[in-house]
Amino acid sequence: MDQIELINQCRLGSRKAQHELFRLYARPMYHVAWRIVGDSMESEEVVQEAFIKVFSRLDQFEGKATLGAWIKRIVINQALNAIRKKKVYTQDVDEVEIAAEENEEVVAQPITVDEINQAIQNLPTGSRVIVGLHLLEDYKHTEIAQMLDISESTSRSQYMRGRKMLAEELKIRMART
Amino acid sequence: MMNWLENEIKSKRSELDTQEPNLDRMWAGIEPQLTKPVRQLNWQRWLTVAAAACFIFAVGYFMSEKSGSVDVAETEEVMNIADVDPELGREETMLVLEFQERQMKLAEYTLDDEDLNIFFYELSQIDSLDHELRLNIGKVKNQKKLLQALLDNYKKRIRIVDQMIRDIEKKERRENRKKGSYV
Repeated sequence: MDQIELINQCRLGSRKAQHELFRLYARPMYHVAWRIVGDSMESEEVVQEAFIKVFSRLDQFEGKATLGAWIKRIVINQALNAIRKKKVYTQDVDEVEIAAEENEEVVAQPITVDEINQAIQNLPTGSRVIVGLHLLEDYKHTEIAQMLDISESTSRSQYMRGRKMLAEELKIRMART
Repeated sequence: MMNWLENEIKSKRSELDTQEPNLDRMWAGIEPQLTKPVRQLNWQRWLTVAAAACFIFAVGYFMSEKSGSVDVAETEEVMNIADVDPELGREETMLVLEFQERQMKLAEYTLDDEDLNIFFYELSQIDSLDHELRLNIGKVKNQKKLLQALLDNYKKRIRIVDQMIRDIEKKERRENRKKGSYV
């Protein structure tokens, strides 16, 4: 079944097609959610809720973006709602300004995948979300600003701050080994 | 320009997704939900009858305020902001009126421009979040923050509709200028 046919079948409510579409995208979408919420069970719940929305809103998919990009936006919004709910909107993202071009001390040695993942997970939520969206998911700061309802400059400064913390975290981890 | 750390992480990007989700368990949670009709607001359709809807909403809203019954926009049992905090309830009333005013202005325009879809999407996202928050009125510890988040949602909606109106008017001005240049 090609993608257009798969989407049409899903729109008609075919459970088989819906399951196939879920199987195609669930794993990468889970990783996107995990980068934001930082917990496996919660990430599964986020993806579940997101796919329920995907199937109910498939009529609104116009094909301007790829289906994957469209689903990813829904997953990201769902994940952001989950972390906002947890904090009951106390602090969406810290408004911390840092010098934009502040240089991190370079950790010029090979880093393992495990070290990178752990260092990212140890970042504060606000920075982790922005580092994940910009560095790993390739969203621009204008897009991130829109998603998080913050200014573009806040997104940039949060990212710089997160990157600096990431470098420090990795330096500590590598000093231990 | 990317620094060394960014390059290093980018070069390992494809290996970073090491977590393994339980797809069967996830699907088991999704499938039963798919049989239920999903309730959602269709903004575009709603806005075509905005004036009438605003009137009904306003009447219903004030009726519910007086009677202390549930919010007319919801079918599930939820409390109103005014039930918990009368002062914030009054602020909500003002924001509802302000939002309705914007909707009526928006309804004066043709809304078939595809560039507006992103705004409708954002509005529907706020509706979903709003609905989830409303279910927690009177149930969570930090009520003040929850109620404030609900009020902020009105402010966000107002900002979005204002932006839509600005975009539409800008486009109209541009088209008028274009027409003028041919005369």
